[in-house]
Amino acid sequence: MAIVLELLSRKNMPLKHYKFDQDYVCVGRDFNNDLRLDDPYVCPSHMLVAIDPESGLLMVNDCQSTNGIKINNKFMKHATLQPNDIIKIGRTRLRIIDTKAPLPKAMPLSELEENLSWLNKAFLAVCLSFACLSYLLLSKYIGTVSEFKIIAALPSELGQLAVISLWPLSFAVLAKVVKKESHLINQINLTLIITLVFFVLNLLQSFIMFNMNPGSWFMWLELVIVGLIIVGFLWLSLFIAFHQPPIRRNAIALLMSTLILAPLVIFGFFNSDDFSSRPSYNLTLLPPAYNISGSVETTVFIDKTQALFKRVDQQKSK
Amino acid sequence: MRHFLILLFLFSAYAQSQQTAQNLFSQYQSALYQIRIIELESGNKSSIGSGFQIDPQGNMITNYHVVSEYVYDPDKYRIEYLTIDGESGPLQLINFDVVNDLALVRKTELNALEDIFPIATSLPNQGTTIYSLGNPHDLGMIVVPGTFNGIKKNSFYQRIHFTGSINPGMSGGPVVNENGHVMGVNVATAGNQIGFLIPLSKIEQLLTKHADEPLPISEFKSTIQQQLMQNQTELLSKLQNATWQMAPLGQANVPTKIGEFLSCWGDSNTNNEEALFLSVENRCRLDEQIFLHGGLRSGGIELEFEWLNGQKLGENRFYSLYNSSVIGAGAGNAATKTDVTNYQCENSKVTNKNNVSSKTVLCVRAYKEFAELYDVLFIGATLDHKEQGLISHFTLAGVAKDSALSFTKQFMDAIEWQ
Repeated sequence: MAIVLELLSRKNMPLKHYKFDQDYVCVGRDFNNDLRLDDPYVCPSHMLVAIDPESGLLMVNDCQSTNGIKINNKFMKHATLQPNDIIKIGRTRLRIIDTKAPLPKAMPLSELEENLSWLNKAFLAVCLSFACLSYLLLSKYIGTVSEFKIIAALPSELGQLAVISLWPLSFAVLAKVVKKESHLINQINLTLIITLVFFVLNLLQSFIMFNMNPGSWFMWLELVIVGLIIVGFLWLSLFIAFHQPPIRRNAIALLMSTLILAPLVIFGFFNSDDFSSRPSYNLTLLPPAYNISGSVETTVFIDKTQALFKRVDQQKSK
Repeated sequence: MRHFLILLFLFSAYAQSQQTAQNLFSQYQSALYQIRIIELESGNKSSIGSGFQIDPQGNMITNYHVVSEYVYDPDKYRIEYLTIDGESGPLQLINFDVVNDLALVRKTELNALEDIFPIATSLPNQGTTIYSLGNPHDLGMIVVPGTFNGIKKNSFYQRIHFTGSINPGMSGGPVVNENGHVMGVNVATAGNQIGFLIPLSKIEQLLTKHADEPLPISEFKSTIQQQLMQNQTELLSKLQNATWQMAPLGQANVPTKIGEFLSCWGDSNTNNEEALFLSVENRCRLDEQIFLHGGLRSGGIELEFEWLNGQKLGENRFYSLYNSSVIGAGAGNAATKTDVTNYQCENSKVTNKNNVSSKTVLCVRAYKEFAELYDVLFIGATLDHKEQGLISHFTLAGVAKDSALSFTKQFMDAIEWQ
């Protein structure tokens, strides 16, 4: 028969545990005790923990101490303990553990963790950084209409890459803070992959806008896709950084995505009723090579615009 | 000796015009009024202009823009006159012509003897000295002599070109010939020593049109709407039926001169040696707009063509430049939330009858106060070349749906490749 006493922090996190192979344990400030507590609010002989020989349950007894014993915040002279009861003597918190009680089963090891091992490659990080930097430089080159000097453009694009790297860095630091492995390479690779995905989506969006002239549903579709990617990205970042129960991880990922997406939705969609003296239109132009959809005749276009007049007339009455 | 004679001649001419001015001033000052718009709540004037009496029944002519605040908000303002002697009294708005910026107001309390300005029967010869009377800066009545330079050429809204300084506050004052007969009304200044006057014929139109009964307050807005509607029909049909002079711009042929009354300007960036692309612009616009109230003007027209050539840039870089050249187009007239709705746009890829394919967008906004009148904005960018493109753009202010769409069609189909 063994009694285990666990010292707890103020937030009830385990600090240290003591195992005694006997049926009773004396707790107090006196050096004769089995467990000696260096707490001035604890009496030299404060508490006795024993196993009831008949029922086999754990019991505590107050040894006429000055400050008494609090079990789950209630003063008790004598009590039979339930599992997970928090005992407070003086300023010290304790949990007394019955070694006979069964422990919960082990959390199943996630397949995903194994499948993500390819992320942990420094070479991949180098390749992805190079790909991102190339894209940034290329889009800068295409966007300038004056002479382009790569040396002049490099610092600002490297700076952008550095800003992007702040995100995985902060996750690595957080993981370190809670005494887990930092997984820095994994986080950097994940972030760079997501960045590249956004670059590709951006190109795809221009292509669709140019060829299809989609209606307002397209904006919502874009929002949903961006939302899903952000949720997935945050979930994976959390998964790599911390060992959390799935429910907690899902909740944090959803909450953070909402915080990121809410301003986008509010400013992009619900402000459209505000008066603006400029029209908002999207006239994406791409070179003839990307022009795959047909065009209409002038009269067809003029017929289509008839509806505009009805739409603004309706706005008038609002 | 010859110099002396010239000097003497100049002096006598000056003295003579001085004398006529003095005569005019003393003879007609009692028929010249300051028109004030009084804000009812504060009881003080919110704007001033000039006006002059034209018949013994107390009818006066002034500018529409002088009384526009009252027309827009009859419950908030009233109109008052102030004579040279400091007497004041109420005025009643009888009718107005918003297109030509004229208003007819009436004195309700008449004296036994009313001085009036007789109206001239015809316009004088070009170069004749004429006198603009008015009340600039609230300083009292003044006379400004100037030169009659005929009806302004190539303008849709007829204006007399007057060389002399018209100042703010002189709006609505009469312009008279040497005999003191009214030939026009002050309306606008185009900078140093150039003024524009509303000619005689427009005053006559207003006088013959107006019924003796004043226009009911409830019909102010609908009258503006009718006048704008009629004006835009006339303007756009004239524009569409005029000869559209085609001229080459880059590889395209575009209408560079439409009718007589749009003034056109050109520009290019050829002097910029660092630029890697060529941009040639051609813009035309109607110089006059119709004042409605506050900052709102209407009736403006702007047409613009820009040829871009970026062979040095290459396909992708050129299209990036092309893209940034078509964003951010705005209205030609300033309007606020109370005047107009937001723009609604429709875009599409269009191939016109000359086989020019473009990405086009047409945006429309409605006037909240005036039914069936809209501001229209169009942008088109051709898609047929890898490193060149033509941007075509126009804005029309205060037009009806049918005239706007038929103009748009004609404009889109006018563009062709050489």
